[in-house]
Amino acid sequence: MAPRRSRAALASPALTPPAAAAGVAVSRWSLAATVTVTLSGIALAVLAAAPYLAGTGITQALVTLFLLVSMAALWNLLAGYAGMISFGQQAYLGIGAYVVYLVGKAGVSPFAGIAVGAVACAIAAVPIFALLRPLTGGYFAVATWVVAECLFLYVTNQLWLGGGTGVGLQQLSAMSPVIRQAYTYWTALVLMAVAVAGVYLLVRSRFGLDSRATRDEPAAAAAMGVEVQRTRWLAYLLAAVGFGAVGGMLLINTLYIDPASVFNVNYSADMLFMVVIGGLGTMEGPIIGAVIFFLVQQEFARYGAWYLVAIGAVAVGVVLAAPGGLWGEIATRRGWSLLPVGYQVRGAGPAAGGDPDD
Amino acid sequence: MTWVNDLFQGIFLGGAYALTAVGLSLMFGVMRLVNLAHGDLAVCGTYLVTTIMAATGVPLWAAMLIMVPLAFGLGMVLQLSIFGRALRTGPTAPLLVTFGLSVMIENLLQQVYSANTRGVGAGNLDVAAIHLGALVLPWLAMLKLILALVVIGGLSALLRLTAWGRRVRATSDDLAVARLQGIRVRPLFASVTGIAIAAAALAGTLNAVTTGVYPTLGALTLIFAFEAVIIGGLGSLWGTLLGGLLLGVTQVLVSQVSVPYATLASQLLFLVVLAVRPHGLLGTPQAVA
Amino acid sequence: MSALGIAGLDAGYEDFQALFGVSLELAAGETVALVGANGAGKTTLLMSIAGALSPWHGSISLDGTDITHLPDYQRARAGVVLVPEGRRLFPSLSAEENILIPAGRRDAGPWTLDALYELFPMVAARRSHRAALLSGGEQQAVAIARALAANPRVLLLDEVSLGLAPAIVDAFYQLLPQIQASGVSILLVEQDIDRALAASSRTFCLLEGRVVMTGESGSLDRDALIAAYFGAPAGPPGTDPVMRT
Repeated sequence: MAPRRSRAALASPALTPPAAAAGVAVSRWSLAATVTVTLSGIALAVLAAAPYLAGTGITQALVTLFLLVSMAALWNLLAGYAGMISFGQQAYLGIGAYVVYLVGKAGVSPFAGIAVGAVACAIAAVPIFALLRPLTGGYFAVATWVVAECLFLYVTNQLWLGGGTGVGLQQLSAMSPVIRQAYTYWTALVLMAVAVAGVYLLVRSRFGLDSRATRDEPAAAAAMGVEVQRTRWLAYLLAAVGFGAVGGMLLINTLYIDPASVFNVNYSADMLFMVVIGGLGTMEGPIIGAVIFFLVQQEFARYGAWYLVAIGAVAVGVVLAAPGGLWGEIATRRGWSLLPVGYQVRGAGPAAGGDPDD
Repeated sequence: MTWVNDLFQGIFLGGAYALTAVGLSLMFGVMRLVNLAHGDLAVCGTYLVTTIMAATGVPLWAAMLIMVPLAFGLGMVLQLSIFGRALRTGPTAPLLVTFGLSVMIENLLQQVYSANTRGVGAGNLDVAAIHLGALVLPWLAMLKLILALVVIGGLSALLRLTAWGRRVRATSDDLAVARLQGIRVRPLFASVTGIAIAAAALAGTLNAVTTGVYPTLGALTLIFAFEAVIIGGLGSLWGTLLGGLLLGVTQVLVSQVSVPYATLASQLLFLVVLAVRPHGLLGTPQAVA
Repeated sequence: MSALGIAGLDAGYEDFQALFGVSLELAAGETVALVGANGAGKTTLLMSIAGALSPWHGSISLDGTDITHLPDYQRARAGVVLVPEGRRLFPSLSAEENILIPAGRRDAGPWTLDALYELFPMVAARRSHRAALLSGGEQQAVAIARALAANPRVLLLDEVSLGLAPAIVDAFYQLLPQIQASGVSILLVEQDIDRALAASSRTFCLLEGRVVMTGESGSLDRDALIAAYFGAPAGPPGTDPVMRT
């Protein structure tokens, strides 16, 4: 284990630009980024007005979209930035959902229950990650799946949690459907904004740099003083919290959950599709992938499982032939970036400028 | 005395788990490939058997005999077309690709065969058994263990004694140098995947006689196979047998006490081994990656 | 027609170029030495010839046939065999199994298993021991035997003396004539200049990826070679900076 070095010894270029290289500037932002963030802000404001402007059919569909975007962004944090591919995040979806149910049953607002669910997931993540610690790669992935299966098997046999039949959220039936739908909608919108912004800020921070280093070359990162296990743990913890909140939203949105649906590995499949097709390891990719997946789902779900076969084939094809996904292949190759994460060197010689996303 | 019967039943079930797992263990040992579609491919083999029986009317054992080379061929084709490419693409590609394949297969099976559980008729084999006093040893169940022992023993012998086995071991030691010594790695990997799928399909079919087959059975099949490999220890075929046996015995013994918790008990056994001895019972202590 | 021909070879790793326009020829049955400091590109050159590394530019030919785009395993089967730096035996295989890996793939040449055991009696004595448990010298012998078992046209030896006791290295160089007698062409990478000159008919010196000096080993100016080795002007005679291992 490499000795820990003080943070000062590993000064980040963003804090101390190379003074010796005259005429060289390190930038972390761009005009395109400013435009993107501004437009996103406007879009969020417009979306917030949707319950006043559109019917429940639209707002309900949009809630699904918001949750998909959240899940995609969070899964990409784990898989794309921290290098931990997990097929078991549905464990935290379930924990979050069932905690909201219990909170509601206890007489507290289920909306507040979302936060409780998120905290519960943070607590649950401690022993779970302790188990998963020594694993990497495929072993980590399957083990996360096993943990979710264990939770499924456990909950299915707990009558006080509704057993295999599932539970409904009675708490909210007192509310008028229009109001409930509006609150659900706004909460989902805020959740998505927080999830995406949170992941973005995280990845731009020191932690993000450590994660990407750990993802690419754990041994080299450790030798540089990056605390590999702590970085992995943080990424895992934050993803668990995020998924817990999404899980709570799932229950509030559909008013009913059962173990077979919520602890279902199909969620992981959806996350994989969205992120891979959109662009693994980029900020823009998962959002794009989620929108595409949402549209495909809306349009083709009535044809039965065929659309999943097709999407699976597309995902496999993308990984083999165009691993950067839509955003990675089309944009990152050209150096385009709407939500820059890395450090771009401007000025100096022909070697200046680099991949703004890495 | 019934617990002795249960113990044997567990051992036989464990044999099936081990037979399913041996392919997964082999693929990881030789190619460093965790095939997340492994369980689903085994289920494909089982569905193939039901289709063969329905189409031609041959008995179960004949259908299985026909299915084995087909499953072997499927494994080879998949390796040469998709898995090999995934391995060459990067470290995360195989995981994403095999998981995507898994989803494709499950949904495809659902569309073609419907989501309902399908039975696998075994005819006389279903009830034939050896009776030793109070001990009842059903032939079908024993076949699971017998096949597991034959396949694992046979594979061990092949690996130790043949030129092919030598090349497999060399490639799994050092892929780059194996190539530099002239070993043709692609057909070698194809043969390994073929064996893996054929063995898993055999085991899956035998199990399906008792439980029936349904499109999403692959997920649980994969999980049990994976757990058998980890419990037994990576890199050890006999370890995989031991892991499978432990899982089977745990499952059956716990089901005598409480049926709903039987599967969970096996998962917990896995988690305990993972927590206490991550390299497995017969594996060597090294990073599990 | 030369056994091995390399013309204008550029090669490297990702963004880093390690070889710049390297050209050399190996005549049939000839032993050529390749010397140079660490990082000069000797191993990169051998890996490129063996096919483990794809060249950026240039060509490689075997007995006149272009093999530049042939993958590594096909080159080995065609007769270009590498003894890698650091031996790289298959650790879980026994000594004999290691040697048997290439066997049967080439037409029968002089190097049968028995002939190899005669050449390396210490390997014969330890033939069923796992390779990981052998001593450094035994491992080196097994590595060379493994390569010879393929009855190669061109044998690439990458620093066979690395990490071995001088007595063992001496023993290997005493055996080299027997290997050369079988007609195989040898490209020998060696850090020890004197051994390299003594064992070869011609010598090439690499510095930072370029051939900076070449000539007949027998008549090469040793001091000039040392200078080329380090890229420094030649010092007064007797000030030999080369360290013997």
